[in-house]
Amino acid sequence: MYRIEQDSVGVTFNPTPKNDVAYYLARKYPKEQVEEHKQADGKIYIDSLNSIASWQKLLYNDVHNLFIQAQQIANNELATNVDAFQNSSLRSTLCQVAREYSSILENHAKDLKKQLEDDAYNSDFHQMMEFFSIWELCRILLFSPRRKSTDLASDLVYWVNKFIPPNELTLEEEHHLETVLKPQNEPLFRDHLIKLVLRGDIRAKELLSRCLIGDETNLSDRAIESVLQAISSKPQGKDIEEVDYIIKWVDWRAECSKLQDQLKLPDKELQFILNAILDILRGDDAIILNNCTTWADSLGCLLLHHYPTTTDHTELRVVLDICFRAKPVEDERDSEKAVIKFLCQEIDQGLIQCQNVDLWLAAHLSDILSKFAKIDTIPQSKTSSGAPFIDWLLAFRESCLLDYGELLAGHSTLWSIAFDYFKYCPKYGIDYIQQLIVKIPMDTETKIHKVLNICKKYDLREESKTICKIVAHKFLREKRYTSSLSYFAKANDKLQIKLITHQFLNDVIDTGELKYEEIIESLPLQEIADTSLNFLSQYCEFHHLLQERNFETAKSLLMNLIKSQESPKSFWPVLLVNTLPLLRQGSEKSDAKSVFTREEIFEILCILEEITSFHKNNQEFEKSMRCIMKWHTRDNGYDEIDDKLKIVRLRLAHDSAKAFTAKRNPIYNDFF
Amino acid sequence: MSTLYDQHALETQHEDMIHDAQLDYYGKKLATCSSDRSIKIFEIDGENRRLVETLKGHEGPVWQIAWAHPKFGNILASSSYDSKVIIWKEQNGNWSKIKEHSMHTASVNSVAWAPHDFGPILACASSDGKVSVLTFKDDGTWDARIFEAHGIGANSVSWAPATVPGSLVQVTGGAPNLKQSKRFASGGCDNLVKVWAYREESDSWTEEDSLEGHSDWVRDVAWAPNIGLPKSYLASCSQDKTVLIWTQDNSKSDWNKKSLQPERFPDVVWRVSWSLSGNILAVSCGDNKVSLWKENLRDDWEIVSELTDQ
Repeated sequence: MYRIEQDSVGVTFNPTPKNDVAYYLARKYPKEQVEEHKQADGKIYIDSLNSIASWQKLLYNDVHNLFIQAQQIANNELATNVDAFQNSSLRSTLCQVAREYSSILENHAKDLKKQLEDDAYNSDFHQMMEFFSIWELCRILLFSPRRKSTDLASDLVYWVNKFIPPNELTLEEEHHLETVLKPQNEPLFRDHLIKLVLRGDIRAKELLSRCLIGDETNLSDRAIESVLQAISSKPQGKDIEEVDYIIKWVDWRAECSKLQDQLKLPDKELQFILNAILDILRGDDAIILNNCTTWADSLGCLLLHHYPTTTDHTELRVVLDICFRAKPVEDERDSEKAVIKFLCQEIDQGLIQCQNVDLWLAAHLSDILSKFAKIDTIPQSKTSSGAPFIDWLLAFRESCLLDYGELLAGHSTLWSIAFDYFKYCPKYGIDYIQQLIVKIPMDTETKIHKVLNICKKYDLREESKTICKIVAHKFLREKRYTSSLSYFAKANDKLQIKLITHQFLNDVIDTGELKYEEIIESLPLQEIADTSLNFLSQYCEFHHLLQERNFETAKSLLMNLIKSQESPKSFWPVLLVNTLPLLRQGSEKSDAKSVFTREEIFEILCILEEITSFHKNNQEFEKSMRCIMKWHTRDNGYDEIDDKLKIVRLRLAHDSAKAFTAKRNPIYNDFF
Repeated sequence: MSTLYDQHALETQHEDMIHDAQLDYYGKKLATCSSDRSIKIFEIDGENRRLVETLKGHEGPVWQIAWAHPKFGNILASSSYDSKVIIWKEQNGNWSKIKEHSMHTASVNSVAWAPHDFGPILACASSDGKVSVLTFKDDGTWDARIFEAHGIGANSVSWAPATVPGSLVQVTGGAPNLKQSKRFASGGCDNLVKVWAYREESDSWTEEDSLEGHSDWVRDVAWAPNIGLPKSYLASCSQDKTVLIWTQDNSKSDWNKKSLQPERFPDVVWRVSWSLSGNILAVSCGDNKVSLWKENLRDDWEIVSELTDQ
C-alpha cells in the first residue's frame, strides 16, 4: 500500500457551516519503511472560508429586517390580483426598499470613513464603498422610478461623481494655489480647474474667479466673467419639460461656441484655460476624453457635456463604447467587472460578478431584482446564454441566499438570522434549515432554547430530538444529571435514561447512599413517564417511608419494586437487604404478626434463589455483595450480612412461620 | 482565483507524519493521527487550541479517524496499519477503548460513520481487499459484517446521505424521508469505485454499482451531502491524477461521470472532501496544492480557490 513515497497534502472540510478547511502535510508510508527518516511537518493548518469581518457583521445585521420587509411586501402584493395599478404601487414600494438599502450602506460607509485615519480600516471602507457603488448603480439603472427619460444621464453623472470622484488637492497644493499671484500660470491650477469643469463641480466657478484681477474694464476679467456666466446659465433638465430642455441646451451650446469664437486674450495662459473650458461646455468629445483618465471618468463627463439627453440603454451603450474605445478597461477588479456588466445591461453577468465581490451583495441584489422582474420591470428577457432571464434569476437568487444563509449560520452571533433567509428560499430552504439547525453549537441554555424554538417553528421534530440528545450527552459529560435526564426524556431516548438510572443504582450498590435523590425529585416524572426513572423515584420513596416508620406502605412499595424487575440483577441484592428492616420489624412485634404475606415471602425467596444459585452465572451477584458488605455493617446500623445473604433466608423463614400461624388464626385473617 | 485566508497553524507534537485530521461535528475538537501510532485530540476555541488527550493503542501508523455523531456521545473511530479499528469513547472526562475490531488481516486504510439517522454504524476499508461494517446495537453488543470489495485492496469508504436528494423539500416535520437505503461507496486498488447497498430482505450488503473511470488506484471517495442538491454526487480521486465527479439522478438510475477538469492534475490526487452543504469540493494533490472547486449554474466545475503549501 505504500508504493508512493513522497510528501503530499491532505485536506478535510470541517463539517460545519463555517466551512473551515483543515490541511496538513502527509506521507502515505510508515516510518519503519523509511531509511532516512525526514523531519515530519507536525502542523495542521485550518483556514476559514466563511469569515465575516466586524464591519460586515454590523451591515449584515442591519439589513436583515429590510430583507424580511421586502419579502413581506412582495408576498402580500403578489398574493392579490395584480393589475397595472397594483404593479405600479408595488414597484414604488420596492423602489423605496432599494433606497433604504442604499441609506444603510451609506451610513455604514460614513461610519467607516470616520475610522479612516487608522490604516486597518482603509480596506474595509473601500469594500463598503464598492458595495454601495454597485447597489446605487443598480438602483439608478433598474430600481429607480424615473420621472423623465433624461434623468438617466443626470443620475449616472451623480453616480460617477459620488463613487469615482476626481483627485482632490492636498492641503499644501491648496495653500500654494491660494498664495500665487497668477494661478493661471500654474499647471496644477489648470489641471484642477479642468477636472472640476469636466465633472460639473460648482467649485470650478470659485477657482476660476481667482484669476480675476478686479478690473471690470480689463479684457481678461470680462472674458472670465462671460465664461462664469456661461457655466452658471447651463440649462438644467430638472424642472422643465424634456423637449424644452433639449432646445435650451442646444441654444446654450451655440452661445458657448459663439463666446469661444470671440475669445482673444493677450494672456495666453488664460486664453488656453478659457478655451479648454468652453470646449468642454460645448461638448467636444476629443477634448473631454483627452482630459479624462478612465472609462468611468469619461462616461460621467460625456454624459454631462455631450450626451445629457441620453434617454435609454441603447443610447447609453453608444456612449459606453466611445468611453471603452478611448479608455480601455485595465486591471479589472470584480466590482468594476460587475459595474461594467450592469451598465451594458448584462444583468445576469453583473450578478455573477457580484458573487465574487460579496455574497451579501449578490444575495440581496438578486432578491430585489427578482421582485422587480416578477412585475416585468427588468429590461432583460434572456440571459447571455439565451435562457429565460426570470427562471435564471430565481435560481440564482435562491443559490445566493442559501450560500449567504450558510455563511451566517456559521457565525457565533448572526446564526439565527440565517434561518430567516432560508425561509424565503422556496426550493431548498427547508432542506437547509433541517440540515443546519442541528449544526449550531449550543454553548448556553438560551441558545439551546433558541435552537429548539426554531425547530418548533418549522415543525422539525426529528431534528429537535437529535439536538436534545446532543445536549443531553453534553450535560452527562458535565455530570449535570437533571438536565441530561430531562433532555434525554425530551428526545424520548429511553435507553440512555436507563443507562443513567442504572449508574445511580450502581452508586447505591457501592455506597448504600441515595446521592441522586434530589435529581430524581426535581424531574417532572409524570410528564416523562419513564419506567427506569419511576423505579428510582419509588426506591427513594421507599427509604422515606422506612424513615417515617411507615412499614406497611414501605413493604408494599418494596414488593412492587421487586416484582417490577426494572432494576438490573446487580441491584437485586440491595432490594433483598432492604427487606431486613421490615423483617426485623416483624420479628420485634409482640403480636407475632408477619409483615410479609406467604406469597410475598415466596417471591422474595425465589429471587434469592435465582441470584445465589450455583447453576447460574452469579458473578454479578457476588460483585454486588462484595460492595454491599462494605457498607451494610453493624457499625452503620445495619444487620450484619454474609456473602450468601443467609440472614435474609433466616428472617424469611422466621416470618414464614409467623405467616403460617397467622393464616391458621382467624383473628389475623383480615390482615391477609 | 484567490487564496485562502485566516491561516492558523496548530502544532500537533506528533513525532511522525500526520495522516488525517478531522474536526468534530461543531468544529470544536480536532483529532489527528500519525505514523507515531497515536491519536491526539485538541480543543479548539477560536485562536486557542489545547491538547486534551493522546490516545495510544494502535501498534502501527494510524491512517484515518472519524468522529461519530454527538448524539451518540463523544466517540472516535481509528484505523491502522496494525489491521485494527479501535473505537474510543469519552466517559467521565476520560477516553477509553470501547471496541477493538480485528477482523481484517491487513492494514485498515479508511473508516467512516454512517449518517446518524441509521444509528452508530461504521464502515472500514482494508488492504486485505475487504470492507467491514460494524453496527452498535442497543444491548451494547456489536454486529460485524465483512465482505470482499476490491481485489488488491480497499483504500477508502464514504457513506451516502440518509435522505433522497431533494426529498426534504417536500417533507416538513416528522421523521426525515428515509426511503434512501443504507449505501456507501468504496474505492480500491482495482481502479474501481463501488457502491454498496444494504438489502433488508437478505440482511446483507450487496454491490449495487461498479464504476469504471480511473486507470489507476482509487485513493479516496467522498459522497456529497445532498443538502440543496437535486441528485447524488460522488467524488473520486486517483493515482491516475484525475478527479471524477459521479452523479446519479435517483438510486435506480445510472451514474454519469465527469472529470473535474479536462487535463490531468500534475500529480497523484490523494484526498477529496465536500463542504457541509456539498457545494464546494476540496482536492489535495501530490504537488502539495489544495484546490477548492464549485459547480457553476452551467454545470461546469470551476476552481474557486487554491492554496500552495510552503
